[in-house]
Amino acid sequence: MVNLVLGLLTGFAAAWLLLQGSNQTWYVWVLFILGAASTIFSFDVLIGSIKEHEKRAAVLGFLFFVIPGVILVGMSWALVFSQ
Amino acid sequence: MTAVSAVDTSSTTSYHDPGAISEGFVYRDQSKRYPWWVKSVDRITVETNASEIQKPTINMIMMSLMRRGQNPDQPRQRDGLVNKISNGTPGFSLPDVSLEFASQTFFQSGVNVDGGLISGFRKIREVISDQVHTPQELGVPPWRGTEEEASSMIEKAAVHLGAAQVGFTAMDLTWLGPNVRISSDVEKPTTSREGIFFPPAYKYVIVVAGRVPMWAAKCAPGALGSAADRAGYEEAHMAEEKLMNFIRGIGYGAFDIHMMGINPIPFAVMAGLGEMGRMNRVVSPFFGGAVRFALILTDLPLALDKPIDFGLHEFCRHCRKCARACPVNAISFETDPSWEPLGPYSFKGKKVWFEDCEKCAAYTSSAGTYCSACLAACTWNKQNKTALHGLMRSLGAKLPAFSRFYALMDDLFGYGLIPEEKRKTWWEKDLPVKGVSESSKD
Repeated sequence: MVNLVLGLLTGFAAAWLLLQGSNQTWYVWVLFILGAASTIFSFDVLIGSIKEHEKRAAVLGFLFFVIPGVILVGMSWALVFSQ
Repeated sequence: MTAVSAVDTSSTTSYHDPGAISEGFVYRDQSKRYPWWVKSVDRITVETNASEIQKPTINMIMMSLMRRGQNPDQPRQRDGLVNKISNGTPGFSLPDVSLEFASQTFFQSGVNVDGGLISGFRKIREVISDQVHTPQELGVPPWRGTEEEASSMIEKAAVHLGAAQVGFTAMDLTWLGPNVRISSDVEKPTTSREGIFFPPAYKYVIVVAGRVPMWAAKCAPGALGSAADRAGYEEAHMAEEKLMNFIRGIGYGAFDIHMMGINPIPFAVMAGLGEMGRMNRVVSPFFGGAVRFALILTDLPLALDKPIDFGLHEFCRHCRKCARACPVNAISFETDPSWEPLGPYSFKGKKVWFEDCEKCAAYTSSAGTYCSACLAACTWNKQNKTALHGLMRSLGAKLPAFSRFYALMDDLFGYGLIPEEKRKTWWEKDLPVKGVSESSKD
């Protein structure tokens, strides 16, 4: 279910970027893809580590990947808005 | 017991470059055996020196086993165990200790503290041998096929029968004591006062791997950790017993040589089931240190496996997690391995991180339980519920020089041994069947 929600959110976000027009610079896309990948990966680490009963790894792993992920996605969106 | 008069010492597998694959055998295709980050190689990653190599004596091995043995019938060990249970020592509650004994219900009978081989498995074999229906008994010819077909068939059967993985290698007397010989005077592997004798046709070794339940293993050193260690051996040996019956059922001979006192480690390394780690045990690319082995000697011609290299030798130079986990500092902290043995239980001819076996055995004996903290702490021990572990395995294999960083991250993320005060939480966890979840192999 979480994977489905994440997939939908990512899809909507990508679609939203596409709707902004095709004139986005390449680095907006790079930032967005890296950020989205890192965010999705952070949930994989969180859920996988909980299944492994590794709570500390779950929390730290999640923060380790979600923080840069959100920052990168935020930067890509900021660049879109600034245009 | 059969008297052995003549000994054939001209075995083709005893005097070649130790650690290199043997000539005169068929090797099976290794390309699909492991992920891309594990290489197949023609010799093990441990350096060896043929002119210096020293054969372990069986007495030393048995002495080591004797001192390691856990047996509450022995006053010293009984007292130690009773004190720990009575004092409420973490990891030594009565259920913990009982679980340890239950985990080795069958394997415990393999080796006893008097140095002899107990006959528990032999007694069981007498019963289960009724389940073997040989081709001779059925009046049909034995199975025939190529070496590759035989290896493929044995691998499939082994996994069906409970093995986590199997590897095939040649019988190599280099790794065995001076009293183990090839002799045409015996028809099957035979133990006598003169030594252990293998018939020339029995030149194939099947190494059977059993998984160790990771969460219990992380409770080492202690009864729960020992329960995991014993469970791993029991898993390997139960699969081995069944596999031997399978081999007999297709018309060939199969004998358990681990229970004859043969150390499985060099054969597991030669069969490519792992590399030799800093702790002087096998570290698997799939299971890390959470794996135990059993050995079958057979005359069924098999296509052999090659050793592997997944960067472990370089990885171990900087990681040192096993050395830090050892409760008696028996494992070397040196960056580089050495040619110089450490004490009477280690042997010349190989460049490894020699452990202080006496410290290890003395601790294990006095603790009243098996330890295996080094294996349980290994950085390569991971379950496979997140893609992060696969990523880190490939990074560890291809960039092993950063292993100190990986070990630090491993500590930071809370992997490794469970602190004593938290070990009782094992009983509260919802763990998978046999405590084993997916690995990178699945």
